[in-house]
Amino acid sequence: MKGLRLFAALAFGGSLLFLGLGFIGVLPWRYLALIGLVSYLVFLLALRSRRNLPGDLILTGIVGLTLLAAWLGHEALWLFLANLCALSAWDARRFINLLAAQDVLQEGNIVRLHMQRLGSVAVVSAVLAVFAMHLKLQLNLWIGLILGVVLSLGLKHISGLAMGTSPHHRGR
Amino acid sequence: MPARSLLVVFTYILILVGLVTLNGTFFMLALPFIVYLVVGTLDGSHAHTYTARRRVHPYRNRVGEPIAVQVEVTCQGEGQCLVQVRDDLPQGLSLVQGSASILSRLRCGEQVLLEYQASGKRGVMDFPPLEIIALDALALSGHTTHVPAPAQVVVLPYAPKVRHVAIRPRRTQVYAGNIPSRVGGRGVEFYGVRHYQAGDALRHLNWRLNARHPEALFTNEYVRERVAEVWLILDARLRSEMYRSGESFFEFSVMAAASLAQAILTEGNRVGLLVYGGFLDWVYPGYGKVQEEHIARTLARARTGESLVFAHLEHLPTRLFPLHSQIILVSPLHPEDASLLIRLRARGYNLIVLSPDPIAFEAREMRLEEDGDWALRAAQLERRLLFAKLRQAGVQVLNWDVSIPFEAGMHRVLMRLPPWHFLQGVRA
Repeated sequence: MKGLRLFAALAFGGSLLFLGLGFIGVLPWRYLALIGLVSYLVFLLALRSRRNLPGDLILTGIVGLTLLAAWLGHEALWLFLANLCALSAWDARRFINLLAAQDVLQEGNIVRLHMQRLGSVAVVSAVLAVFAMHLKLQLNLWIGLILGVVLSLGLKHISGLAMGTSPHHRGR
Repeated sequence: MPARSLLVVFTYILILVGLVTLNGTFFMLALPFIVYLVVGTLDGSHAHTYTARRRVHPYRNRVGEPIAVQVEVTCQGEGQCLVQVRDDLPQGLSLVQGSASILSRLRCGEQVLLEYQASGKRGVMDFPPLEIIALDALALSGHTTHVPAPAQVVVLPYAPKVRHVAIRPRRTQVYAGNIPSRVGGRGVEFYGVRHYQAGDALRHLNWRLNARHPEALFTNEYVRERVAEVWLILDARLRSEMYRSGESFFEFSVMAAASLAQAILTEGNRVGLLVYGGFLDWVYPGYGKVQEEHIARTLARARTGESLVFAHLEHLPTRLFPLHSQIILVSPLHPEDASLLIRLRARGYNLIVLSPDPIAFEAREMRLEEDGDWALRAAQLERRLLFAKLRQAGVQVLNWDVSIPFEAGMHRVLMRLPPWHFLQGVRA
């Protein structure tokens, strides 16, 4: 559990760092450092909470900021990494809550397997991102729209895969 | 918002913005979420089936004593998955030790054991089906299955020990016991004198009388001690219930009834129980430990209820009670109950009313102003008048201030017969 906490803290720190790199030039670095420090402390406090809402809000905030930075035309790589790290921190935090809510058998194995899967998410995302950065495609609006619709339908299928229940985080 | 929905919303927003602005960066930002969602679904956890077996020890217990629960869940199916097993405790039971939820990885044919201790309020409780959530690869969401693992727990009411309950009904049973009957024979208390009959023990000869009348021999007779039939009536009408800081007043009545039943049965008497509330629930009179268990179980499931028919004691099924038997009513008493109790007494029943004090119970946490104090005094006066009226009719009324423990507050009162019992010559 300690390892997971450390991982979550490091991942969120990384996310803030990459987001700060993305915002360099918009704000003086002192302000960026101050905002980053405050956000980091808030996240550390949220790590102690048994509820998922603080983590969800923090992830929403990071995604919102990356969206804003991308809109302003900042470096895509930093923003991607910020998103990836924030997602990892959010996931680790949720998993900590899940483990803390009940007795766990073979905790070490469960955590190791989860981290492997999270690692595979990071690697596959990074590979796809690198591929996407070097891919130059000229899409017209219609092809883009069709691709978007196909992607949306795929996502809808994934989100509705007979997985109706969220795990209980406060079972004790 | 569920975790999966949150990620799906982020993804949709990023894709939508990317489409609107025709900017590939937004698609790239959506990549981690898309991959995360796809990896999360790569688990066939919903293909598993489960069986569960529950063991509860002991299945019957007293209020406040722990009950050990063990649930064994077996997984059937292919592959392995992360499983969250949750056992929802029935209403009235609360967790004392351990956890009613467990997280484990299960392979086909493997078992997981959930162990915890619970204790509960009085009642008969059935465990609901077990909730098993097979989580997906990243524990983002799960497939819920409800698996039956039936078991019943009986939490009996707390019954403080009372050593003796002094009762003196006019009618007794044939078996030897502790209650003086109206028949001469072997016993302890002096009953009378009769002519000597062959076979009488010489130590029972009345030597003084023999000296005065040398022409005949006289022998002492003693009061035979027998067991009696006692009917306990528990008032479970809704009007007899009230709550203060979550504490139920009816529980005191149940506790008193359980304690009385235990004490009277221990002395070898026949005891029956009638729960008079929303409906009638009764246990026919009987002896011994088995009867004690029957009564305790009936008391465990006793609930207050409202009924138009049984709103007043007028519909008490008096045919259940043999004439001249002992009746003990446990009730907070209402003024309109007096007429029936007096009628019962007039018919020859020996009647004890054990009345937990509702006024003291309610007034304890009230901050009474001057007017409230007057109201309290008026209510107490009304109650005392009701008691006086009943005592005048020969009903033994015992008031119990529930702030004093039953065994401490009622021990002395229950041990003795009222003084007027002897004055009236009711004694055998």
